[in-house]
Amino acid sequence: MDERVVRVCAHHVLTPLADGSAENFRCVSEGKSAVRSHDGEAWGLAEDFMAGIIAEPVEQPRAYTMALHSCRTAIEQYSHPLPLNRTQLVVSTTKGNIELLTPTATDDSIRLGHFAQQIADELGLALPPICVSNACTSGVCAVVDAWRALKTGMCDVAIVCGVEAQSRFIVSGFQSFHALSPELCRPFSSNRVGLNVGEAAATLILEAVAAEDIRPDDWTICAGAIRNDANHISGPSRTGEGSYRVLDAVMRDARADDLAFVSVHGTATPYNDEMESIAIERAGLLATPICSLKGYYGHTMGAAGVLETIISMQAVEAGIVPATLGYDNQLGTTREVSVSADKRPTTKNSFVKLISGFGGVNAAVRMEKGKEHVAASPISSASPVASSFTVHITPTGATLNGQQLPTSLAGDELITELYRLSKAAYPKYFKMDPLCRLGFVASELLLASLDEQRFVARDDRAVILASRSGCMATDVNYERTIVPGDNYFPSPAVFVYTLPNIVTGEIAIRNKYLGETSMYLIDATDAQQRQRQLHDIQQLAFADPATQSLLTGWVDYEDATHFEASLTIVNR
Amino acid sequence: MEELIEKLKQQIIEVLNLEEVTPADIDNDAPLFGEGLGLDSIDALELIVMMEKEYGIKLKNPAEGKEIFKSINVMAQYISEHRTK
Repeated sequence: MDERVVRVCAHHVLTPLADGSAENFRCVSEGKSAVRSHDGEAWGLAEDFMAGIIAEPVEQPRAYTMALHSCRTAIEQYSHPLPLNRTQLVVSTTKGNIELLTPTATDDSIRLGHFAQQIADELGLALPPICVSNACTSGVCAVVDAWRALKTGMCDVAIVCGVEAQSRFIVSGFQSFHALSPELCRPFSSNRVGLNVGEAAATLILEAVAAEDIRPDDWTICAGAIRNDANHISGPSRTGEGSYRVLDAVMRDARADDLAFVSVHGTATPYNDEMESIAIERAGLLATPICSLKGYYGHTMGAAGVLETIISMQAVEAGIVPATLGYDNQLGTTREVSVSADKRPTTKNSFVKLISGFGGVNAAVRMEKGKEHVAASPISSASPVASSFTVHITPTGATLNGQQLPTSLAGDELITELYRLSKAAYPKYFKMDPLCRLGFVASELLLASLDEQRFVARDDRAVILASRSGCMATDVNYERTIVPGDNYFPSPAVFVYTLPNIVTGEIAIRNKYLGETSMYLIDATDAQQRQRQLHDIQQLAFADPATQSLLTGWVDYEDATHFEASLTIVNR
Repeated sequence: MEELIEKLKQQIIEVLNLEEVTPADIDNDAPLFGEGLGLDSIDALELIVMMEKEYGIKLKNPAEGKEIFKSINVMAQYISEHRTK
């Protein structure tokens, strides 16, 4: 087929409000909220908290059960048999099965790549799954990746599953950040004080078809983008940089007048909503209605992007802009965005889903119902061309562009020895967790060896990394700060590093990279398989026409005696 | 107070991983945030945890930290007045 267009074939949502997409949308239309008060003591936490938690018992590990249920229910609605050899599973989650973690023991199922592989195996899919973990943006990133995989012919059908189960681990971390609202969150309101967390599993089944086969009631994905703020690992850019840039990218071939609304992140933290209002103004979308769905579900993290996309689609079908539940009609942002506590009618057929997360990452996707603009979809295909610049670090030594580096230490001390050797003079290095230190040092050595100007803002280079263990070593360290009893002191400085994508953010901040950043979790232990999967995700990154060059490769830190970084520059 | 100030400097260096800073580098009257030590919002949250863990001082509102973390002297004064352990 000439022009592959990506359409939605089926979807399913499991939340505390209901099991099923239509049932969930009905709850949203009726203004129901899943957010309730929960007893901190019962959860082993120091304080009570407000969250959207599924009340019925869910078999452990809960995230896995929820994801599998959602995928299977969506597949039942797909009208054809799944082409098992051409179906790509794309999983988005931030913490997956983290509930299985204890201070002394880890379980293989905690590895996010393994988590995704287990789902793919259970569904009988032959292709290795793509597991993207870009903090709270993961869900939209997964939709963007699936869209790219379908557009470029990597697969014919994609199952995008976003999932997050709430746990003591996550709630204690947000409590240590003082980021939680003691009441129902109040997005965009002047008296907003924080977010509520939530849990959900949401699945979209997408397929690639020829443009002429799109039917008037089909939903198509028109554009998607991922950009980093290059500002701070936990605070949004004061200029809304990345959010503005993703909005600009997805609106390039569209008119603001055609949008029913922008489904914003709207977490109700003071900074997030302010930053989004700035980004919306910069993108010329102040007159476009916006809505936040956090008051219905709380912040469902890895599931949020998929869940909120599915609810937004149904809202457009029903001809409404959803009410921003919790908004108190007193706008609390410096820019006059169009937000409402009541639902509003719309006759438009498209929307944008916008999202941001820790690690400075932002993502957006634009979707449209009907066949009016199906041809407009900025995507490019390119075969990655590897450069000869490479760095390779293991616990016993390192090579840079084929040359052994003069080191004498091993393990964690080797990483710091390499940091000193790189002459980076970057005190933040000492605040980083081992995964970030490893990735940071590897990138410093590699980039300093290139003949290119550094530390000048640029948006044409993406940071695309993959890992097997992700931030598991830091997960264990964090878990040790929340042992019940007298030593319960959740550490925000450790918690922030329990997201695998932070390393991509650290590199983007250091180098002022405003392009795409993504972290993928790969289950492969076999080097060849790992290389094939890396090649695939590099190809996905080049689908964005703005991306000309990748800082990319493998960064894995299991413990002080088992780690490996292997980075290179790949050009279009 | 001298003793508390010295101990506090050691604790801050350790808790915030200020690997290349020595207690002598921290001026008792200089602001902890902004220029100087290069601390950020996560460091402020971590100092709040430290105050609770080491001195039994629980801040309900992290915004209070702004006043308390003005300088080592201010912080030591606050701790000596409010500590429960």
